[in-house]
Amino acid sequence: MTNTKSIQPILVAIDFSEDSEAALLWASNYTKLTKSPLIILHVVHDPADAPGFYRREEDDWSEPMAVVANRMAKDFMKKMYDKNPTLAPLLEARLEFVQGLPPGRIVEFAEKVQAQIIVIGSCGRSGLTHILLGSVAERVAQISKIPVVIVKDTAKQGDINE
Amino acid sequence: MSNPFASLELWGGLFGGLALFLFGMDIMTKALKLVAGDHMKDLLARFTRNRFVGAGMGAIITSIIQSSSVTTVLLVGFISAGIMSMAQSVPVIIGANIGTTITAQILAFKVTKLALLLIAGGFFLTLTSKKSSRRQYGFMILGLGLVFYGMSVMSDGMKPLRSYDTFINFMTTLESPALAICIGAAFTAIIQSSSATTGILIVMAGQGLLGLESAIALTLGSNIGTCITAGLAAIGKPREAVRTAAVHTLFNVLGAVLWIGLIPQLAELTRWLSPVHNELSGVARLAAESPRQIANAHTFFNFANAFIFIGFTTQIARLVEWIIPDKPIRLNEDFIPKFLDESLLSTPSIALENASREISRMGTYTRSMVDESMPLALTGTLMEVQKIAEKDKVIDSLHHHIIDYLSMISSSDISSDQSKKLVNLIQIANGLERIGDRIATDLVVSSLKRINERVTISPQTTRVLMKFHFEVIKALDSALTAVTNGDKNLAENVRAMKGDVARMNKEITRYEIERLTADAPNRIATYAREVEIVDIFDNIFRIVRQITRFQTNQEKNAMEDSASKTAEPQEQ
Repeated sequence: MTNTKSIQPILVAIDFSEDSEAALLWASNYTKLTKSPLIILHVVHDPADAPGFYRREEDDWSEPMAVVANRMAKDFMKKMYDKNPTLAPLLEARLEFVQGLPPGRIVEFAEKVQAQIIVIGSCGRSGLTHILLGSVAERVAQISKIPVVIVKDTAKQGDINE
Repeated sequence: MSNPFASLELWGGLFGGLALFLFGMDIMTKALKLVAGDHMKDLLARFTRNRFVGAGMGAIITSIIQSSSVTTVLLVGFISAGIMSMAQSVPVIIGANIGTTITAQILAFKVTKLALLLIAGGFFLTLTSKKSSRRQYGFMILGLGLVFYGMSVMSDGMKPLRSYDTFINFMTTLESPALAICIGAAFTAIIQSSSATTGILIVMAGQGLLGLESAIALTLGSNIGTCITAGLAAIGKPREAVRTAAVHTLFNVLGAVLWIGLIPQLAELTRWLSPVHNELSGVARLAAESPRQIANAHTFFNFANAFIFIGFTTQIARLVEWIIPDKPIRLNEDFIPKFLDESLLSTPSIALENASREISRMGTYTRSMVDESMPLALTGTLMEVQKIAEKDKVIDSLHHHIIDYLSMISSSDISSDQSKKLVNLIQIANGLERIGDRIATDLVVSSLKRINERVTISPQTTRVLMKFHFEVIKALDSALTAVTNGDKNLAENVRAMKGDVARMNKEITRYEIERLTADAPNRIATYAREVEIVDIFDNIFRIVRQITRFQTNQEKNAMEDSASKTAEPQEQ
């Protein structure tokens, strides 16, 4: 009975950023340890402060954003497989999409699937923007009853000299 | 004004003119949307990353279609379709009000004289043009003519109002800006066109019936009233679309609130900016100067509002997201196990029952997937094929949960009987998962090939394959009932179906070979697909038989156990 939590999935929320990569990597490794299912969630939402997130130059601009989001997620996952070919949970993970406002949706989704933890990239804004707008990760941590792990892309900070 | 005919002339002129105005607007907008609708979609989606470009786009599109509410309704439509986001729409909405100023400026010219000429010209163009686009231009001109003519009819109808005391008294109440804003908003909400309200105000001012201050307040109100159209269009639409309608309302309400205390100053400024007619005096001077002053005031505050609010698009979007939160998530609950209660793991017998129930649920999904799969393999579209592959995700998820649950039961203290049952349950779950996989991989690949190669399965072959499919479904149904109810006889029946299915398979193979030698179009590709389909369903049938074997094993084990238990006391 030491393993009762393994049935509850680990939910990792991604926005295709470098911090998301770090979060997904952390969640995959944690999944390996706990043998829990992994659910990868992307909340389709065009950010208020930078509209046009799903309008990449190479895409057809008349395509619905949800379709573009799906493609972006698949590209992101392919990049992750290529970088980490031996990380099995990445291949077995369930990729999910919901529409709405990211913090609320992530927490709501996590509760619905009875996730044991939420893993999210820190995706930090800094300075005044941070004071004014905060970050999705912080908001998730504030409103979630489920434990939240906020992961930072340490390479970006120059902390790792491996 | 006691003369009933005078009253008829007044109301007839007012409402008849308004009807012509709105009818003209409608004709013009419809024609414009037909000519430029697709371009607008592309323009809006492409150029709304930058807020200034977005506002410019909103202004240009609105000045062409002459209606900010139509622009917002278009946005609501694009957002509902997922082509645009609410965040992208904010600057467009801000820019749209700038676009409406063009209409007001045109209406302030003495355009009514052109009305009949435009109607005649537009009508002539629609009659003589064979090309659809040119006919639509004809309708645009005709619509514009009707708008102007409507204004002229209203203007003539209103002349007697100059001597109508009740009306004059009512107009003096409009000196209260709050009341005037409310009346302007209510009137515009009813007629659903702020341009029409501005048009009427210009007409009234042209008759010397309305002061500039009251006209400004009424125009501010009309900006609020015009929001009703997009609000109505957003009913029942996705949250993002509702938020866009809310942005429109919020922007216009805030815009009106901002100016409510500055109306006298705005009036002074526009008087100073607009042409003066010193040669005239009294009502005649008011009539000559007011229309342009109203149009200029309208232009000034709409430009000013746009310049002020363009700096706060993010905040407006955030505020609206806060005011209108998401609806509760509607998740596919199928993915989540219903019976695997972790608190019951300490009672393995109940936990095993739970796992069995969940497997039965998984079986129901597998059954519906198998049921849909044959018609799909024969005639399914690309979308339908992709959809069935999604269904396998549910089966995979349930399988994952069930195996996890069973492995947790196995790590607790269980009897050998329970252990055997547990192994059987794992094998049954594995079997169901393999059936889902066969469909999601092999059958989907085969169907995609059929679609790509444009293979059409003949009605005769369809009949034969459907018969085969029917047998597989029958076997699966019996197997699932056998598993759920622990019915050994049913399980045996399925195992006995082997001979029938093998015979049917042979018949189909013979039939396929006969068809291959016949002169049928695309016959090699058709043959390959048909053989593939038979193979997949034959494979599914084999898995179903294996599932029933686990069931009969379970029964056998149970019987052996009970036999040994009853034998034991005898031995004692």
